[in-house]
Amino acid sequence: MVNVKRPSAVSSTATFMWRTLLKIKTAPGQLIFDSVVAIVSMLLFTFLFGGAIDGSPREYVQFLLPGMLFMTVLPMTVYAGSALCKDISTGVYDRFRTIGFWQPAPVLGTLIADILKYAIAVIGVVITGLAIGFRPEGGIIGLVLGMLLVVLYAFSLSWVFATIGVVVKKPDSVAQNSMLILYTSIFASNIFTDISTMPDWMQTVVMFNPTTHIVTATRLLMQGTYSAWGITLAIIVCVGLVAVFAPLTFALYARKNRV
Amino acid sequence: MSNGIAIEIKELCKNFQTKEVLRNLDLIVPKGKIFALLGQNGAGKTTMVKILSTLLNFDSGDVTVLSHKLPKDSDSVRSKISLTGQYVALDEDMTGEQNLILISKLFGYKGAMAKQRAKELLEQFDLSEAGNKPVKTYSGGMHRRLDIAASIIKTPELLFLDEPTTGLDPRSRAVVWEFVRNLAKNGTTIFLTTQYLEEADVLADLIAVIEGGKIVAQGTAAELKSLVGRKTIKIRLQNQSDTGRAKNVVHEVFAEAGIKADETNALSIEISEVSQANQVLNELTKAGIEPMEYSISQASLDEVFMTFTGNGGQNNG
Ligand SMILES: Nc1ncnc2c1ncn2[C@@H]1O[C@H](COP(=O)(O)OP(=O)(O)OP(=O)(O)O)[C@@H](O)[C@H]1O
Ligand SMILES: [Mg+2]
Repeated sequence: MVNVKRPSAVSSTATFMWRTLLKIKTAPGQLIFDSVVAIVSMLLFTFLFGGAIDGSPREYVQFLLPGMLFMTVLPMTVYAGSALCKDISTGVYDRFRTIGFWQPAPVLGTLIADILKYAIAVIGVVITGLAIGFRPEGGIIGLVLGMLLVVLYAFSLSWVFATIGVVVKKPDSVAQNSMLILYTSIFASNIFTDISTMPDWMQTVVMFNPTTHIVTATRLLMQGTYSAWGITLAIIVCVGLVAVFAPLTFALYARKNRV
Repeated sequence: MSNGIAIEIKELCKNFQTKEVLRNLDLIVPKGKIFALLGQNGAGKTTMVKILSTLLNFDSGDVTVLSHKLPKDSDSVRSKISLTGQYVALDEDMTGEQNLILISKLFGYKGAMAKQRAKELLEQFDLSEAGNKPVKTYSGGMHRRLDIAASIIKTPELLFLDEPTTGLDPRSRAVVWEFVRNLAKNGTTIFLTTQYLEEADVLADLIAVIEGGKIVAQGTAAELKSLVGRKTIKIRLQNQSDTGRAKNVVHEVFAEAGIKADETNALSIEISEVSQANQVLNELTKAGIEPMEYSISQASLDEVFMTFTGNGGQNNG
């Protein structure tokens, strides 16, 4: 028998990334479906509301597209939680735990690999946007930085749902339990309209939503009018989410089902 | 404690909220043996397996696995054990081969080595053909076999098998038994639970019965059977008409022996020593009653189980 050594933290994490990517490859249905829905809703929104909200569809898409990226990607961040919950409820998790690899690996690997899904969806929406007249004034650099910020935020937010995924009992209820947070983070924000058009109390609510700050930063990046402070704030929000929810998820995951 | 002890448990207590499952349980499992734990549904077999395989905390007691104390040295224990749980633990969306590659990688096999290990195991467990299909398309028996394969990717020092052959057909069961014996021959200690007493009988070197949160009986299959006691001699007579007379003759020799006659005119006589069988046969011959054939049998493990468990089987959950 070959002598094998316990894998390192990095290679255990890489193994779980491999597993997640493998699943995307063998069952790309969900990703394709989500991307198509995003593209179709962007076309609908642009041509349906464009005239009413911003004068013309072409003008509206300049404003809408950055928000649309969030609208597309944020719901996808719930899947990581479902995946973790599924492992726990099927007992696969028990097997993982009796093997002595670095125990945060399943969580970390799954969440990192999901970044690819966010990136694919974001690219799909941007290409469609460019085709119907989206012309970011921030140029290619502003566009790419903005896209990166969307993906970074999606990754950060996915830790919140990972925590939920480890806490709840059934994979099906992960989506249910995440719904309120997800919809609040999407709709109580400036994804669809400018904050200045909202009543005061609503502005206060919206400013408490971390999504708002990332959307603003992304929009400004793409318009080429970003401020250092806006970007810093966006990054602080992302880092803050990870700093709170990653250790929380790891700790809950390690203690799960032990009593 | 690097002597021949694989598992040592002293005064182990485990409660789930208000439910007391294990109370002051003591047990020693020697190394290199096949150990079988028997008990009714809900007796606490899975609970014990989970505690010993580091998955579950316990309330009090001393638990030492392969010379490492739990829960302190869980990490060291994990590097030496493996577990096949009562319920199949596989990723249904991945193929059989991908499942095995995943676990191989987590044990530290790299790229091509992981793939090769997966192939070997698929072959060993008669799953080569199904290897490329998603596990969700597998039958119950295929699930089980793949699950066991996954737990021996790296040969463990101690292997836990929680009802490994539940739902397997006789041929697959034989495959699993064969493989368990081979592992044990190469030095792996096996801790298995089972609902099939025959399985414990043919496979285990050592059997324990858990009931009411404690081990209530322990020993080899033969020891347990002799604890329950009585052997039976079954005699078929030449002439059915002799049945009544034969009963009287036996009663004269063993006043207290239980005798039963069945409709095929066979007599079953309970005895405590094999030598008593000769006596019975001699007395019958002397009285001119010709036995046509006879056999001596021990108490079955089923009887052992019934004797030690149950309060009449009222103890479920
Ligand atoms: N997580 C849990 N929470 C509460 N009670 C539990 C839990 N796990 C097990 N129990 C209870 O503990 C008792 C022992 O369960 P266990 O699964 O160990 O039994 P078992 O001997 O393996 O039974 P079976 O033969 O049916 O598999 C049962 O009464 C069960 O209801
Ligand atoms: Mg059980």
